[in-house]
Amino acid sequence: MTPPRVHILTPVLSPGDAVTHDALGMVRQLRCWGWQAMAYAQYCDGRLRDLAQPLAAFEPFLKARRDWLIYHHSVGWPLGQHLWEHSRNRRILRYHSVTPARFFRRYQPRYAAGCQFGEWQTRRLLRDRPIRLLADSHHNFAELLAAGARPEDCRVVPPFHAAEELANLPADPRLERMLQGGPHVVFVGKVAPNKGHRHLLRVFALFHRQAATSQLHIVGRLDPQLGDYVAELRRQVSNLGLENAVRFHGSVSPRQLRTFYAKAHAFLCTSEHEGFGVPLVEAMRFGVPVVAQAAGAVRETLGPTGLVWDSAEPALLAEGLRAVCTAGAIRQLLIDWQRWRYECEFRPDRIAERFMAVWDELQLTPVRAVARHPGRSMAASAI
Amino acid sequence: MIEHHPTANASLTIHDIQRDIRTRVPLGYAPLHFDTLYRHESELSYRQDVLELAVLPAGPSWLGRLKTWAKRVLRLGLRWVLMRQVEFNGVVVEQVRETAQLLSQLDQNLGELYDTVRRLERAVEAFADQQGRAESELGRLRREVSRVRDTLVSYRVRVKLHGGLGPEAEAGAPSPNGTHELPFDYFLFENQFRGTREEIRDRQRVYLPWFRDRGKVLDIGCGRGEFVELLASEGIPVQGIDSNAEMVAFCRELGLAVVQAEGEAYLTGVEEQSLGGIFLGQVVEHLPPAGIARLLERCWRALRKGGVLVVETVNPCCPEANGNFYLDPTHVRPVHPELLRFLMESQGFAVEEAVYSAPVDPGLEPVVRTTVDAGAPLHRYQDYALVGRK
Repeated sequence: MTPPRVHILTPVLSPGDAVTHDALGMVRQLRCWGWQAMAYAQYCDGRLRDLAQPLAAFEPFLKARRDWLIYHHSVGWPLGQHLWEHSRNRRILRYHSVTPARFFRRYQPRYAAGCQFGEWQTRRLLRDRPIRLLADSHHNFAELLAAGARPEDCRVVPPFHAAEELANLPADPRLERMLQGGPHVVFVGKVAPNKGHRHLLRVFALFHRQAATSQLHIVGRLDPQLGDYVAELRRQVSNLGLENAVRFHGSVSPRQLRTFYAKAHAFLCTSEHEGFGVPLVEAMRFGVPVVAQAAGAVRETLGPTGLVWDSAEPALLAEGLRAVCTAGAIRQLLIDWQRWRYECEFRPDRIAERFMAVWDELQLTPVRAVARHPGRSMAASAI
Repeated sequence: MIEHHPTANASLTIHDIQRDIRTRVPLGYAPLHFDTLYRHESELSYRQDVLELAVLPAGPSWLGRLKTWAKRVLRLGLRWVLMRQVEFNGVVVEQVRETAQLLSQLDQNLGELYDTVRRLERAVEAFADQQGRAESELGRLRREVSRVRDTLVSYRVRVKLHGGLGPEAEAGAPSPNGTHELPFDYFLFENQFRGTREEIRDRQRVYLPWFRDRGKVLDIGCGRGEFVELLASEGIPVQGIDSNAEMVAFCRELGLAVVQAEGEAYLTGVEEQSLGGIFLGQVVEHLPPAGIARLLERCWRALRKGGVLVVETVNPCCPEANGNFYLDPTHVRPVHPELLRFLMESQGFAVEEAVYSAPVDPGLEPVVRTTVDAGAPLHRYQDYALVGRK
């Protein structure tokens, strides 16, 4: 009899994406512990061939009752829902938080519909009573409870990330030359309405008045589908007279990202919705002090080590930026505290320990009937 | 691996930092915009009478007239229930109107409050400026009063010693090394160029810890008695000596235990191993190297085991101090820290510390204490002292 395998499902596997890093981190970790693990995605980047396969490769294992299925839920995915419902595996739901639809209604109704479907799907996924629910943060844990999950089924495990891999990469010399002087303020995250770029620009404009040589680097994918949003941001930049101080870099290579972290004087985060905040962890790893507005899980991720403000008042955040961009005791204290938090909570081996605790506990959990809709076979054409 | 939160050792927390930043943020006030609220309020007023709005004027066609007639009949039939809705709507609209007015009043009050706070802030800033200026003026006046008081005491002393204030009396003033060859008043010279007694006393406060609980202390070349006064105020038994009769008389006038004597001669008469500490402040630069060696030898003899010798002199490694060194005609030669250390160690003293004071730039630390093996002397400090232990 073949040993049980672990299948990890997620809609997209693409380097640089937080959910991808978590899914692949799990695959690597489980393989380290001797499990046969593989990630499957509807859209799978060819560079990840060793760790991930297209969704069709998962079909033969759909009915294997002793296998484990870890479903990464972060966005509405009809096909994923279909697979979940028809799977006979022992099912675990990894919840990364679904961005509320309201952020996208004005800019991209299709995305809004996807998010709305995601919210509905959360409740549907929970209806099938997965064996365990793994939330990224206590914020996500609370969202799961609100969607109808039972607290005894939920555990909090921070997501695996690639900060250490980034740190081992060499810097990009061209970008390094470009990032001379400063102070350089950086924000990393896809350019989407939930990331609060409009407020980010307002805060930076205030800071820029005091530090005329400061630069804001917005690093993250510029989605053509959110063209209206990006155009609005560019208009705001021009209205604020910050054309020479704000740069949208779009998607960058890991080497470039590492260089941004190495050269940044501060990380400014005004996200309105964050399920966890992987870039905050990366900033902590690279010794970039964080100034942020408390929203979602931002405060939880940074703990008592970052300048997190309950108020969204731009003057307050700008003054915080000024404090951390000035070389001195406050800046050094924040860097030390953040590094300490990273070492204690988010270093990959620490995350692996927490994941292991949950995984070991699961091995002792008796198997229960999981399939609510038995008998229907998956249509191969759907993949 | 880091095991402890760094804050465990630091007194500062993230809340302290945030509180500090919050105090630096200027008070911001943006007037509220009531246009939208009032626009909605007027629309609500228009729509509150649902009974009236339910039936609009009929069009020209017969079908329209028929529909209007049917609606009127329906409205009459439902009037008893819809009337309650109209009443409710009326109350809601009234409530919204009052809320908008209250908000507007509140915003106006907030604006006035903001103006008042800004005015107060400006007044506080102006007051702080005035206070700063007044404090600096007070400091200057204090120094001036101190100088005048010292001068008055010196005149009294001179009258007592020489019976007058004339030039012949000044010319007769003895020099610090006991000769009468200086054609000027050394006391006035010290007053003018060494600084006020308060300044010197504050500067010498750094040497106090070495003389606490050591027994009797001798201050050789006590001058105007600043260090003697400082030790006496701390309850440390002290004896000051100086070769200048006017200085001695000045100190006595202030009630300090000071006698006129040469250092070497005085120490010869002191019982062996009877002193806990000796202070030589700005003395060795008045002596030739052989004289320094002899004086140190006498100090060694007079100090008991564990006793402390502090020797302060001009720092020849500081260019500014070097220039000023020749201002005083009684100075013989500057003494390099390494020479002084060599002489002290040759005598048997264990030189424990070097203290640098009187910085050239006001931004520097007023006093720096280093070990003697720390390396190059500090070039930006005008005075240095070596602390030796028997």
